[in-house]
Amino acid sequence: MKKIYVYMMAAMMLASCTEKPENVTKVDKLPAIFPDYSGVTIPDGIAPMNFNVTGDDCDCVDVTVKGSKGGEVHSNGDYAKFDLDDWHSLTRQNKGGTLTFTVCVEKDGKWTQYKDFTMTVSPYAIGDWGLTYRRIAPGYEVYGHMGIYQRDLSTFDETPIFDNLAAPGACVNCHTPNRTNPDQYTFHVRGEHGATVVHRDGKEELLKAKNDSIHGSMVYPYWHPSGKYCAYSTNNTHQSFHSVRSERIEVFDQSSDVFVYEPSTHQLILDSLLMTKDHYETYPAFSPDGRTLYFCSSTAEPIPSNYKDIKYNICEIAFNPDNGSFGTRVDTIFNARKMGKSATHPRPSYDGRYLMFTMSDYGCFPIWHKEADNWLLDLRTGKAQPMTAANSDNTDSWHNWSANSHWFVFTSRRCDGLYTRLYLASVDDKGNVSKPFLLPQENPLDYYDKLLDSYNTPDFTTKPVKLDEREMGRQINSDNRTATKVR
Amino acid sequence: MTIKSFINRYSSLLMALAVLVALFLFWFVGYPQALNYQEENQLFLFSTDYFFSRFAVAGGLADWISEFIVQFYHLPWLGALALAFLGVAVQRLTLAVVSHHASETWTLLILSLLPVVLLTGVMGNENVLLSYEVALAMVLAATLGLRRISWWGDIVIVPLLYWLAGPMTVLYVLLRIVGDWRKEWWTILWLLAVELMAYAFILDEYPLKEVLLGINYYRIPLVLDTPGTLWIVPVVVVLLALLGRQNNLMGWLDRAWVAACACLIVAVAAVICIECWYPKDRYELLMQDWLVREGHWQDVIDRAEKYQVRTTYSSNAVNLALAMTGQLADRQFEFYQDGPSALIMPSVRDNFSNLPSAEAFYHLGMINSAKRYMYDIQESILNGRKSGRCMKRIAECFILNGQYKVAKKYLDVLKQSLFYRSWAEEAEQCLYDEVKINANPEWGYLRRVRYKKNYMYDYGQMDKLLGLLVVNNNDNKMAMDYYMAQLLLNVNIRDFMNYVGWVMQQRGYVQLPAGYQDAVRCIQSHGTAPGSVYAGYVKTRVMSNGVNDKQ
Repeated sequence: MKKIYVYMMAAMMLASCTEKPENVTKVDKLPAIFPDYSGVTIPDGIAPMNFNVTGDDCDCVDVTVKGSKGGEVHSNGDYAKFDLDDWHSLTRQNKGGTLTFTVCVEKDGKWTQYKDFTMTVSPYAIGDWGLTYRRIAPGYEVYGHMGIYQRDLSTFDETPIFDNLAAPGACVNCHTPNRTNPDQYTFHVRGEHGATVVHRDGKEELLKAKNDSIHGSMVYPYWHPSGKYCAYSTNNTHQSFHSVRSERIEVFDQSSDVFVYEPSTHQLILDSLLMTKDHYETYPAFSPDGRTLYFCSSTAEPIPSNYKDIKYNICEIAFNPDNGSFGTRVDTIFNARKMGKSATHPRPSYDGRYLMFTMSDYGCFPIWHKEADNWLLDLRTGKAQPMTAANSDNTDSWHNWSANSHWFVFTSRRCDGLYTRLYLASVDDKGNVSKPFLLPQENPLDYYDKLLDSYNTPDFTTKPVKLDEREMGRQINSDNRTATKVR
Repeated sequence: MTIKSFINRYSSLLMALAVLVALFLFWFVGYPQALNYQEENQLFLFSTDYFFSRFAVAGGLADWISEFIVQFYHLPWLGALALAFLGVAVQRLTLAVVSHHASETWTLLILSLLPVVLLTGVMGNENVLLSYEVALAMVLAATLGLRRISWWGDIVIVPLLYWLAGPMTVLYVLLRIVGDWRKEWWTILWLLAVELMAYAFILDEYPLKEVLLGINYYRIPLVLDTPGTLWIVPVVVVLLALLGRQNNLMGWLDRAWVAACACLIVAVAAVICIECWYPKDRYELLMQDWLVREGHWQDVIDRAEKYQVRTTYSSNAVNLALAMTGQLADRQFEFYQDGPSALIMPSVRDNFSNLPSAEAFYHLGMINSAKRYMYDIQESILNGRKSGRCMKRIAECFILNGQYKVAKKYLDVLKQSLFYRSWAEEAEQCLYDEVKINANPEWGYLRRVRYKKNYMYDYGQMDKLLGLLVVNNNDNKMAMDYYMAQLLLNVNIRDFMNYVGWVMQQRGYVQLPAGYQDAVRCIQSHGTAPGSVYAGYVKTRVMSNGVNDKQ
């Protein structure tokens, strides 16, 4: 269906301006463009970084891109639109170098040349094939048409992994591969036909969404690098709504615990240290060597009256993958409460050097917190700092690492304050974080302006995820579920 | 020319005229609320993206044409006229198809009304979309227009028609077989093969049932709900075509008594359709929805005085109308009150129930709640369409909240529509212009009376939320009325008696409103005041599930 739509749209794009810049007036300021790609760092092989000139309506945009190591691409039209193959050649040729953009804009027959801007082509390849994410309208208690999608990072192609057209009424979320490898993944189905889907050994298993022993559903997942286990949290989540204009939704847990699931035996491995009554434990994540389980922990406070006192620290506990047992001690590796803050969603880089997390004023769900920023904890030094270059004055949250740990993707509401969009940025060997760039689109202004969905829970994927949507839809509707049992 | 010969000569034309007038009156006078409901559950956009997104699905052209027509429902007379013309088209096409092999007898002429009557009946189910009727008309037109095409042409026509009109194409195939009396049954298999190919290679996300029975004929995905009534009309058309094919019956069909029987059949069908498929209560609620949307508050009250559906929805709508006309304090309990939810309904997952509550939130100045309800109502439209009405209100809420970037996003969408464009363009002029926004009588007022401090919404504490709204601004008269009304609904007598004096003073009432007088009388007599409407309410509450423990 989507293919037909794309072909039809492509046919519509034949008409555009083809004026050449003449009698150009130079101005000493950067062009106003969307997305703001000036000074960003990109991987080679990324989809063309097309952009639109914003502000006053213009008649034509002429852009020349020159590489510091040679090569050139040119665009002339309603917006900056680069040929896919030429762009890929240029970025390959300039890996580790810079691209300089010369932008000329025609308005009322007069051409203006703006100050050049540059883009750095990182020496680090992105390594992964693309991204996976959920797209959903940013509603409150109701969802309509939504799904989990995947996007080829070298092109603009997006395909559904699972669209709820195949199972009307179903809500799918939290698609999580094992270290970006989709040979193993899990996601949840909510609604009347709830389930937790676990894909491994080439087939899907639909688990019962709830187990009485964990007092709730399986929620935030993270795979053990061996693939033998998958950690989940179980959260008794509620949401409430703010009344003033600057706030929107508050999501809080009234209880939460962490446990590990062993797919081969369908067993849940529980431990009293991760299921305390006086603390909320959530957001588990295994270390790259699989011998440590990170998670977030906050003292339990009266909810909803003291919801602002819920502040999470990042903790760790030893894990023995040989027998699936936990250590006997929980350590706090980052004390956010001491700073009057809450640290959530820890994601260790796969090389084991960093741990990225989201810092907000309080609570477990920074996605609706305007002040939320991403931080980087150096696991060698134990020092943490905000990722200033990548953060904005609006919500920045839900990040994941690329397989080679040099790139990360995260969601941000910086565009308009409501819709989350995907941004990518790099971390070099010295821990320097680059200015992030908005996920490229063929015609970004048009695309993002018309898109009434938010992006959720993005992650990288080494290759396209293969899922028979219809079969999955049938299985979801069948209500055949595998029960889990406590070990 | 005598009248009789005139009628005989122009019978077909007169019949079309009668259908036109009847359908126009049916929709414009009888059921304009149905038009409003359809219009508020879609947002037709004049954009190539929008066209192609519809066209990318089987039956997409019928869907696009349907939504194009439905946008005119914004003006009920125009919508009714469009539907009337479409109905006439269906009737004329049916007649042409049915009488293709026969002389046009009175009986066939009258029976050609049957599909349009049944179609109108089927559309009494508010989830049946106009694309169903458009697809029917397209298929009948194709049957007629392509009748000279050889059977081999169907190799191309069947897939083309399937893509343009959807699975209604089965009617084309059947009418070709019935009409030409040829046993070209392979075309049915060909249609099935086309559908299966579309299922396998193009419509990868849709379940088989929807690919075979229609993706866009019904608002609810057919895997969740499949109304059998959808197939009545095509079956009747095929039966009529079979009848028209019986040449040996033509003389018989020309007899007056047979024509009279045909009249009777059509009349009975019409009565059954209206009685069965236009339930009084449902359409009364749809009428309330329309009147609330248009702000015809007194009409809501006038209708409720004559007949009120005993549902929470109706209570919400009538109470809102009473508040907007300053009658809530006087007359609340003269009307049906569906318990503590009678002012504001809790969040419900459908595209209709929360509409009066959302409107109440907006007029009260509870902007975030209005936005939330409108968002969720829009997301509850089960065919994934957006709502012009909801999006307009959401954009207003963002403007009131000063979130102009998001507001502009929605205004940009609305600017691509026909009936919301001018409003969106005017609203766009106000973005980032606080003076202009505050000068707008409605927006300026709402900005003054909304919450100043942040509170967490808790439906169970609605009385407190309303009280805090009053505390935030004493000018919010509607909030005061709602607050007192909520206390009465909760049978929270203590707080009602505590605040009634203060509210009287703030509201500037010279004497206690009649409704409050009645409540005080009921309270003072411990619920035994004769003739007290509030006593009646309290008694019902006690009998149903006990009253608030604050009593």
